[in-house]
Amino acid sequence: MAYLPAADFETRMSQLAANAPTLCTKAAFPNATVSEPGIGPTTYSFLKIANGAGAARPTLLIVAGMHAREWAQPDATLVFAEKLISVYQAGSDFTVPSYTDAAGNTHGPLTVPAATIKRIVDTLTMIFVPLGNPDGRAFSQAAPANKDWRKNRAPRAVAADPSTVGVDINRNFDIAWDFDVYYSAAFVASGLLSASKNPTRDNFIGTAAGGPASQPEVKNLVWLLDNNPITYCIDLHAYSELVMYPWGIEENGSDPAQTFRDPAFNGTRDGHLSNAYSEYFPDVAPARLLRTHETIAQSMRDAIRTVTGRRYTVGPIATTVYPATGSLSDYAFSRQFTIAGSPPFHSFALEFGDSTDNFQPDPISPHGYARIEREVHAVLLRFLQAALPPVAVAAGGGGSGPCAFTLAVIDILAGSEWLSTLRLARAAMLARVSTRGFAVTIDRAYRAASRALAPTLARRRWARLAIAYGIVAPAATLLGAAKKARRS
Amino acid sequence: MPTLDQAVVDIVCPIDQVAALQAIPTVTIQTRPRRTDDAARVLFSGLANSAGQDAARALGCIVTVVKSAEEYSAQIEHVYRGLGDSPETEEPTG
Repeated sequence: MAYLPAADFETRMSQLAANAPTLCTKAAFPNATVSEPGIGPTTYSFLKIANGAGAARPTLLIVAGMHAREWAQPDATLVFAEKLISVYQAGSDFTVPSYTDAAGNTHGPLTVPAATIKRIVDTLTMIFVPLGNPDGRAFSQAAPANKDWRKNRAPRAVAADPSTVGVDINRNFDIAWDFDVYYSAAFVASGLLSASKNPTRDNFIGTAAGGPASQPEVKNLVWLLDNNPITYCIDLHAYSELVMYPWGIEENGSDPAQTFRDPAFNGTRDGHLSNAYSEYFPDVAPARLLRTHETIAQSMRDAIRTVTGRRYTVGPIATTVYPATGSLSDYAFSRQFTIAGSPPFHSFALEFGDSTDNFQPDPISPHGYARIEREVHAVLLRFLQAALPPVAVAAGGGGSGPCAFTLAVIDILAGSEWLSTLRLARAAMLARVSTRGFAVTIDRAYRAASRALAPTLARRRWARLAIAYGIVAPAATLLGAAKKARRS
Repeated sequence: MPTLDQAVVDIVCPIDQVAALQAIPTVTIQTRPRRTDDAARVLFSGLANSAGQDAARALGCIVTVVKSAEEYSAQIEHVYRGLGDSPETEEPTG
């Protein structure tokens, strides 16, 4: 494996769109990059993947590569888009292959059934931006000395000083952008705030004259949010093994009066936990937005653990790391509070890999890029599944009748995998002469029990959870372990 | 490609020494400050040569080498080899 040169992303996206014209369109962003001489300007593109169209479709935004040196996530995202279309066209499951770690332990595979993949592509509209900072990546790839380049290649902020090239585009969005206004002076001086007004720094937010959203790469993402009914956004980065959600500007709170929109709180944010100020994150019914974020983030963490065995940390950004301003994940999330009539918005930011992976995991070692790719794919699968509208929980029967297990796991992201494991085991028992009679007997008893339980499961979430986590998940785990043991 | 002299390190830093750590020229901090169980300490990851590691320890930081400079250098060589980089390629100016 070799990392894709920046320019090759356009070629690969063109090929994908050409190979699946009814499912995938490639479109150019309205703003070309504006860069220091030597690289660019670059007109670059995004992909829109969907079978069908319509404003009512849940619309998702997947972004990678905003930081130039983070090479693995763009490649993995592009490969994901290609694979998603491939398995959809083939009517196949999406399988993240198993991985054997350095200690010899095998993890995964993780499989999302073909029926779910079909539902994803038929129901959702997915916008992929595999490379959010093409000129930055091109520069970082130009020489090993540039490997740590993070910013875009915005022309130097100080004309005579070449060290002032570039803006951190993930600090340039219009959310608490001018951090001196929002935070205490002591916190700004502490070095803990991950944003800077010094143009030589890696996390330079952009010039005062330019203001927030000055960079074309940022304008392009805002344009997507302005022109598509996006309600889910995920931003993929490296590194630190983190699965996070807003807020990044301050710890989350439940007081609607404490909000970035109220200038009365200017200068009071200090990045420390359990102080007087915290940023409002709604958690009221029916959206239960905070709880939903927690659930989805946990499912992503669990999926990572399934495919590679690694334990990522889950939490709100500002509780996990110290605050930063001007990020995509916060900005996208904030729009529901600043644009009247906006629906609830779901936003996630991930940091893949650990310090040994670093920003450019080894492309050759199976424990380098190949491991990161599995984790990215597992997360994106969970992200897409999370956006699927809930399936109506039908109490009645008809045809073959209700399936208690299917009803039980209906709103659990890993449920489709558990069911897949149970179905495979059932099929194996039915196929074997020695176990067929037993399997048929169990089947009859199960169907009778399902018919009896269905009305309760339709009405009572506690009943569904009890069966899901008390029976379905353990059974799937045991069957999965037995299958692995037989293989080895 | 010349061998890099910076190892990959994790650094647990006293919160009042963060600015000083960031000012050490032989330490390259790559990550945001991460909260730890001890509110008085934060976790960074990055690159540091021997002098940088010593300077960080002098501030009261706990420095752990997670990948040696040789291993990290080999990783970077693999990364750029696939892109067709030659050892003589020079860094573009600016």
